[in-house]
Amino acid sequence: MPRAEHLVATPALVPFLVVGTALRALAFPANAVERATPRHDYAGPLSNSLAAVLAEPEQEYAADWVLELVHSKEATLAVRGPLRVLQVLEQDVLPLPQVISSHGLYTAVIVLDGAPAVLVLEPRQTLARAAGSTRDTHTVSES
Amino acid sequence: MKQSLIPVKVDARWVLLDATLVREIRGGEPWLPIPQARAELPGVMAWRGRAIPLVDLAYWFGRHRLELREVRPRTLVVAHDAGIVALPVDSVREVLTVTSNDLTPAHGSRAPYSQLELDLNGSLMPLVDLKAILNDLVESASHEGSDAAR
Repeated sequence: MPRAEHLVATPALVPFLVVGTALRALAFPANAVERATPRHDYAGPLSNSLAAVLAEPEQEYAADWVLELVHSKEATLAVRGPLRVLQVLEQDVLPLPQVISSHGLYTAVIVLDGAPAVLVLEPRQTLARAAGSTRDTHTVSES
Repeated sequence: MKQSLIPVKVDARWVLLDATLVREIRGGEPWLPIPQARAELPGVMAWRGRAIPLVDLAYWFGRHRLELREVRPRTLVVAHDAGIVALPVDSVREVLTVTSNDLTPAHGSRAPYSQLELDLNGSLMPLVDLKAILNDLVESASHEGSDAAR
């Protein structure tokens, strides 16, 4: 006969890849990221930066990592480090209210220690924004 | 007809809100800014397992708008037709019960979204139509959403 603790449902953990930037923490759902490569090891196209999406052009040349997202094998996203994997309870991932206008760039907020702490990015929209906001697609790779 | 009004201080200004909309009065609450969000809706707060938008009343009634992660000492959680929002304010007083005779057309306390005022011990406080503010916010957000979808 199973003991009582075996009958208690284990809360679901949801993994995210957290991207640190100077002012804020952002995250992608871990299953949206195909590969994260240190920039100096990366050999493929390096076209867009998260800094451009966030309108932080001064950080454009400080990318540490390149993310390949599952939605696009062509486009990559240059981001500043550090990167870390964060596992959170499903109940701590709160959808953003519709009245908050992010044009679909952010989908949810992750609550840590009772306070909203990390914004969850929508991968396709991020790539689309990055592609649209970076005129010179070689800017980052040439730095 | 009696009305329940709650005086709140935003920045240096006292205004009156419909107390029946207020679900909860909390202390200072941490909130998360949304990059490039509108000044009047700068971020979100966690409340009872959901993320609720933060409305900065100082956009209309104060001079000092909320800065990045600045926490005001009190937070009103307010319910309206389209959902729940949080209003960070500097101070809250006890609820006043007034009659429609106590409220006069606004003359001395000109403020947006206000047509009536209350003379409270010689101090004129505008009665702010919070529902109208929140409805306008929802409406403008839905316009932005449809613009983005185009």
